[in-house]
Amino acid sequence: MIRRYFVRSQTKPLPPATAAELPSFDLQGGRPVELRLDGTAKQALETGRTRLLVAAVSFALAFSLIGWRLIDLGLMTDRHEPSIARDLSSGGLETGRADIVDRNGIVLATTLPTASLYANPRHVRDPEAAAAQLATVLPQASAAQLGAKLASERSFVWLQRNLTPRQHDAVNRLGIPGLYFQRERRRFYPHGALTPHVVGFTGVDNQGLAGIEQSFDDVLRASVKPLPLSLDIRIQHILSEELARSIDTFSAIGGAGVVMDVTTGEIVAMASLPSYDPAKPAAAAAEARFNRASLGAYEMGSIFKIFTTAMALNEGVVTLRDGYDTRQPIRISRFTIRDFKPKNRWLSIPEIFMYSSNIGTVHMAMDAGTPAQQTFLKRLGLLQPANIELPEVGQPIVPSPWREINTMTISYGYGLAVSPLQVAGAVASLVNGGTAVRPTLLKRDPAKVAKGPRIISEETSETIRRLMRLVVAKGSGRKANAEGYLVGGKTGTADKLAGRRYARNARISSFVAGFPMDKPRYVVFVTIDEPKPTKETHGYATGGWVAAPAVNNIVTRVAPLVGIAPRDNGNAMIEQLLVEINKSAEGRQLASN
Amino acid sequence: MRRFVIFCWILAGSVTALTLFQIKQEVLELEHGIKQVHSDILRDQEAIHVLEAEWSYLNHPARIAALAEHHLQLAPIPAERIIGFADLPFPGEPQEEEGKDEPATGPATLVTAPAATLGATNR
Repeated sequence: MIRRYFVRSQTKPLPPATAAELPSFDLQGGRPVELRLDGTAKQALETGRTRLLVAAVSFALAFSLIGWRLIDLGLMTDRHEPSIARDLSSGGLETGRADIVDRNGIVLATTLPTASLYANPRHVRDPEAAAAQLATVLPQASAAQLGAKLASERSFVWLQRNLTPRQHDAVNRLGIPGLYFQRERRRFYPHGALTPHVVGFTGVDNQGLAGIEQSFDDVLRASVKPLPLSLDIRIQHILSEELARSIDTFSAIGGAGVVMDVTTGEIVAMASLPSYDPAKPAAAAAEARFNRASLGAYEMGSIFKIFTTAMALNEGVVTLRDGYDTRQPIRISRFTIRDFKPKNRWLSIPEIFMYSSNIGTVHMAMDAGTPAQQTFLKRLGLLQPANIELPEVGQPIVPSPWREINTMTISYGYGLAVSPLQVAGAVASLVNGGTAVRPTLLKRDPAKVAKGPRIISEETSETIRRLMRLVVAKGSGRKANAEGYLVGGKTGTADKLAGRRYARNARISSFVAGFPMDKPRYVVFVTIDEPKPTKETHGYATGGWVAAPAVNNIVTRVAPLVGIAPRDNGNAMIEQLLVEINKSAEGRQLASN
Repeated sequence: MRRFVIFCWILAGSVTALTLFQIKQEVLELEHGIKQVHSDILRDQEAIHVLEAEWSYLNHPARIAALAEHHLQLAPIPAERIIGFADLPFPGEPQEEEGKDEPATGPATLVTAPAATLGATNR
């Protein structure tokens, strides 16, 4: 239809000039005039077709674009929907830094939105008046400081980071032009001074600066899922409360404690006192920020007799029926090794352990030899830094070279300084049946924890448990005897080094315990730094008087929480041992007389 | 006929255009709505997040302990009050205080009797 119209319009109005020249003579050799005309029309027709083609192509393009858009709208609508909110059942809120929670999901560290106040000084009309007004609602800042900031030539200046909601509201009410709020996120620690040595803290820009916050900085930044720690906040509270009580009673300068699961190696509580508020780490003394439990290295005293005895029994150097004459102090070069409370007779191995005889233990270590001692302590993880998820890990102080005198002193806990964490891990490895545990601060699935390499045999582990139970039932650790929970442990009291010699009146008193000893579940380690004797303790400030009662309280309070049923005191467990001791002691005494 | 066809096409085109416009408006409205819902959800999620932190703060063990001490007449159960099922005497078994059959003393003797023996073995 359109084509016809074009043809008609091209053919009908003939150009006047050509028409005038045409009719009179036939100069073209009788060829019809229409042919020439037809040529012109054809040319016009061609032009028309080209134009038509161009138009058709552009229309086709336009229509296909529209068509594509229709498909786009019809089939791919999801693409442009604002899918902002996420289902949070699988993770947490996107805050830029994941939460840290305890093993029961209680929040230990979280990121909350806050407002930070900044100003554009060029927009502030009257800096002095504004500063005076601001100073009334921001108590931390002085009017002079604020005035100087507001009068500066810059276009951006922070006035105060992380305002409280009340301050935020108050500043808004002042209505000063040129002041603005920046929405920020800030780390909060709802449990404050309870867990700072484990959880750590962050800087003003939310980068981790200590503890788990530092060692898991990348993970926390990348994830929205809360990071579950092995800590149980209830047990942590009990531990730090009992530590604080002991420190207070004995006017000590500090203390540390660890509660560890003996099968999984999970640290359910770890405290170091004095503590600090992680919200204000700068205000805390260096002493308070120091993690005594993982970073401190201390000579542990008699607690090391557990390791010496376990080694001697496991290597077959001695049996429970053997013993040593403890009448003579041991003299080596210019040192003399004596007993704290000498019995002045032959003592069997259980007696040496129970009465904590230095002389007997040194004999045991010397019979085992230096290489055996070194290998054994190394396998217990006491010669290398603890393998734990904290940046604050102390290097144990190991003698170099390791002479005979070192073997002797280390056997009863002098000359090798280790962290409380290492002691707890080593004791856990001995009482749990004899396999090494790897201490961890992260929650573990008990079913997925593989048993570590064997350190001592099942039987030796059983013997050590009985010996530790003996110490609590009859020996130096009687104050730790929590009714019904079969506590077994060992006391340790070490004089502190003051310069190059040992101080007479400054000591570290500790107690390490496992419970319940028929099937241990937890190891508790408590150490008190520089306890002073009181009237009630008759002038003693030893592990048995200072740390053992704390362990007793801790066990009594923790056991019901973790579902350990109290049982018969199970003295049957040590009865056998006692009979054997008495028999062999009598025999030997008769023999020596 | 031809005109009619043209007319039909024009009509169909305008109806389509109108419907499309209508749908577009509805979609815009829905999108606006969903945006609103999403921002509400986000606000609620954030509020829950803040409340969780507050909940954790309020559950500080020291605070709970103080509250429990103040408001509850409860104390931790000492270990000797808990005994195993095997240690319970049989109902028919003769008891020391058979003469009195007040119901209150019955459970009390059940509980304290084994506790006393427990204490005795410990000494």
